[in-house]
Amino acid sequence: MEDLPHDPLVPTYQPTRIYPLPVRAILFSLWAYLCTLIMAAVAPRYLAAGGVREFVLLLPLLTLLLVVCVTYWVYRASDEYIRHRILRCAAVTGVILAFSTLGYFCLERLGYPPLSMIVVNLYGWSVFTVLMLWVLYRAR
Amino acid sequence: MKNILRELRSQRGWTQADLATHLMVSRQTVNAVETGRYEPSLSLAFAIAALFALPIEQIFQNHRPMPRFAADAKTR
Repeated sequence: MEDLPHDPLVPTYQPTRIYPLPVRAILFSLWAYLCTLIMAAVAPRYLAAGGVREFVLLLPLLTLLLVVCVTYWVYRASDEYIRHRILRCAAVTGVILAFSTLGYFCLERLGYPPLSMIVVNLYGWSVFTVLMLWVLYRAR
Repeated sequence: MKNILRELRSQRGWTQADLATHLMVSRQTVNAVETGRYEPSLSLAFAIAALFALPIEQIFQNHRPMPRFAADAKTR
């Protein structure tokens, strides 16, 4: 490849190569979120009322914040096209979630058991993470 | 918007990855711009033009109809 002299007029971009680190960070943060969510779901059965139980119940909020921060970090570290794709992932997730919840609402009317919001949350984040990982995989 | 990025890249014997390295974007971005699936931002278009030392309008051909007042101004 021909080596070009640096032109100060050429805008400089942040390095945009998608390293394995963002993928690992997304997977780790989602794993942490799922673990704390399961802990919060089973906590009322095993823990007596008190400070510890309250903490365990609120823990998924912290890990969810971690997921959001990691997603934002990946967004900021990406170039304009990958950002565009990430925003599209968010939009597609919204559409999938909207149609899924609408579909299940109709099933509930037909006698299916009511669905917990935790399941909806889990489903939505899982869809978004899968789409994000696909974008990062294609951008490698 | 059509462009001649692929031709310019081929003339220099660069791969998409080489061009992506020069522009400091991902190879995916170069591919999307070349195939016309994505219109680059103004700053990226300037970077491409500066890299190939060509005016932007020579690299990117806009087929969108021009606003009426601009077309009038040109004929005056």
